[in-house]
Amino acid sequence: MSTAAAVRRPAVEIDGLGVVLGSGAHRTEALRGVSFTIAPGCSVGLVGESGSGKSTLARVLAGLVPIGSGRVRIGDEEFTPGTSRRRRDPGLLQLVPQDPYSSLSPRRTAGQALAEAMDPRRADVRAHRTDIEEWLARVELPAGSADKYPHEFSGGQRQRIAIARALCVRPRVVVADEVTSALDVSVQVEVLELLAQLRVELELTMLFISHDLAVVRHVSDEVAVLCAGELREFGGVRQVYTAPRDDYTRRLLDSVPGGPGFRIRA
Amino acid sequence: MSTVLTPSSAAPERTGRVRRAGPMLITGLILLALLVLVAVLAPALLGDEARTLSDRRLLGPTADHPLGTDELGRDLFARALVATRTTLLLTVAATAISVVAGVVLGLLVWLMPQRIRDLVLTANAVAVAFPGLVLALVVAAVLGPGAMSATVAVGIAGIPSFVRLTANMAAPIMVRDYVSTARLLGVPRPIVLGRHVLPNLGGPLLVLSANSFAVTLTELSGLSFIGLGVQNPEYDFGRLLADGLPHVYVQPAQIVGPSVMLVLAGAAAMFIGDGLAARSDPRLRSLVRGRRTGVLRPARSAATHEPDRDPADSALSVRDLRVTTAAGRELVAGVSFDVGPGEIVGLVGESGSGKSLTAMSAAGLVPDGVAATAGRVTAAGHDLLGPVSPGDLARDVALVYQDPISTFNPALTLESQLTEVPRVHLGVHRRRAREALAESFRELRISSPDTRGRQHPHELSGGMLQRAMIAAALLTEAKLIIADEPTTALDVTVQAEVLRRFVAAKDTLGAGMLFISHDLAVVEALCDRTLVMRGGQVVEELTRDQLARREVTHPYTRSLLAATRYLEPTEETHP
Repeated sequence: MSTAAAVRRPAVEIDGLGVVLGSGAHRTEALRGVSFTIAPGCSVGLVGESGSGKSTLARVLAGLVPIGSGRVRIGDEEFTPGTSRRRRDPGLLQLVPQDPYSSLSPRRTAGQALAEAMDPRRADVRAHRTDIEEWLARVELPAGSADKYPHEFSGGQRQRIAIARALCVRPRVVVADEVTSALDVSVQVEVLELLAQLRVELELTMLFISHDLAVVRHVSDEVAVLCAGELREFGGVRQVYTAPRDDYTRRLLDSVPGGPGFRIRA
Repeated sequence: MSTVLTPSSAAPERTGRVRRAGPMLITGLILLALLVLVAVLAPALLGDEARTLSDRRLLGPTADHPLGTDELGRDLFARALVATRTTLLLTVAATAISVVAGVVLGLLVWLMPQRIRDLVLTANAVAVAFPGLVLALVVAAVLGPGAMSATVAVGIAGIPSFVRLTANMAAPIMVRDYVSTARLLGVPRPIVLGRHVLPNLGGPLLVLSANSFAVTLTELSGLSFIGLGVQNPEYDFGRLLADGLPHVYVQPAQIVGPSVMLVLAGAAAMFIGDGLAARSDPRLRSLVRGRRTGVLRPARSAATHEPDRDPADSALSVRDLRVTTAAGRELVAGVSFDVGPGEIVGLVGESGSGKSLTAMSAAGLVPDGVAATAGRVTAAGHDLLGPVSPGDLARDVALVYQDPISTFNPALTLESQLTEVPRVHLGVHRRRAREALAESFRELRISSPDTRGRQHPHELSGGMLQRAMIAAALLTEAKLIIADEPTTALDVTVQAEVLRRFVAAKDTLGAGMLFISHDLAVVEALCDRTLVMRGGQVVEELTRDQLARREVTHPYTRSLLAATRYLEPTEETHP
């Protein structure tokens, strides 16, 4: 990570974030005292298993789940338990959802989906035609994709549309929530390589969420490891992968099939 | 290629996009076209005849008057046809009131805060419960009798049910990712409703509107029949019925005209509604077409295969397995392999490679809509091409499915489902089976293993259910375990645990295992032998050593391997 980025004010600051979901018997502490920062132009991989609270964190950043305690700053906007439901500028943060099948309306073309991002009220495709085609080309979709409906695309192509839709707003922060987990292995690689390339090209500030430690390696400068709502480890990619400080991180690494520490035979 | 199960008349699946109208829809549309034609032409052509008074009163059917005449000597056949226009117009108007107001209100509730929405929907539920005809009677009585008030009354009476349907159908769409993404992009809520929610409700709403038309028709006719609807000298079907009723014992033909027309109009709407529903739901469509359960058949041209191994020696032996769709597309194109006792064989491929179909067919489970043939399928010593006792098969072959949630019966406890094989087929005592299950749960790190068995499937997470199913599979004395993506839904740390258990089970039970996965790294770690599938064929077969040394020849395997390497942690080892 460049030293210049470290000196600059972080683009995202999460400070002592706590979130409680549900009430009564179903009350769970989804996040407990989570703190880390994302420098501008820097990408943080957020790793955790099911129930670790990683998706809750994404939803807090997107303003879909209220903050329980602590505070979150994105750009110049500060969110606390009292203000988390405030209306937001779409340019602040955009989310690429996990499931490429449910993230695009089956009745709207790829062009319409992008037009909506560029012009939320009118969503006029003709007015933004050149921009739309430029963005679809940027995510490496074939020419003529703008007039096609989601069912005419493969899962990987749909995910590319969702990525283009989130990025064309030029948000200060992008949150990618398990964007590869529904895809075939070879398609995962393609999407990851695309994101890695866009990250450099557009100097994205990104939070890349995955259940799979191995996946975040290619698209992150730093890695945060969540377990049961707590931050277990935060550090540079190299350090976390080669010399994990936390036992849980080590166990997670050793559980990745094909990894050096993976053993299933006695 | 054998097409034993494929009736030649079956519509090709490939034309799925150009959806054909079913016979029901066509019948409905033809009926509707005829009715519209009558409604347009009859008043012009037969209007005079229907109005002309004569002294030939209350006649039975004659050559001049096919349905006789009424008490004022008017031709009833002409009257029945002429009444079509009024009836259809009023019914369309009333249905339009119900649908438009209902849909608008049903969408608007989604603009309200949750508390108010709940309140509105509860009040609406009460309105739905109130009989529509009674509500219409009240409204008609308040507005005074007449065609207009009857239409408004029936229209209003139909609103609550459309509010409820729309609000309920919108609910799952409101939580879809594309709706929350649109919100995040700053699209105002009313626009979200119009742009994303309404278009996705279109199909079902059309179906429901057609059905609602039939109901509205009877309600409107009912109001006219009891004198609250269309008033003399105007007439619709209900009015004609009412006019004919006093003479029904003298001249039964009096009520034939309006009755038949009512039935025809109602049937047209119902046929269209059901036809549209069948067309929009592909599953229903195939049900309509005739459901057939897939069966595994011996291949016709059973090419004599070299007896490379006695099938009785292997846990699973498959020769020339082919699975074909009704349209003749080969999903699995001639796959042959063996799984030895105590051997774990991996079947690797990406989606659409046919690996799951191969595995399920090898267990004798062929999905609906496809035909499966094979030269030989011998699982745990049972020839699946011939008759097999289901009990023996259940005992000897254990299955772990990909999707744990749809595999369990939600009404039964885990225990009663998971200990069925030991209890029923192995004669293990209930208590003993329960203890063994709890022990197996414990080994797979399922929390509170002793009480889990008494829970119902919905009380466990997907990952937990998957582990429970694996625990049960390892519990039996199966000679063959077929596992379809058993660890895909699991966290990596749990996956590692489950894989360790599989290895241990192989050693202790000596069972052969067919392990289906999309993940080459998992297969490499677990399996003694690996088959790589693509496009319904096995493109490469690798031993563990070959895979470990990367001695692969097929380009597809290479690219799969490269992708897998890409997704592995760094090669630099942590200390």
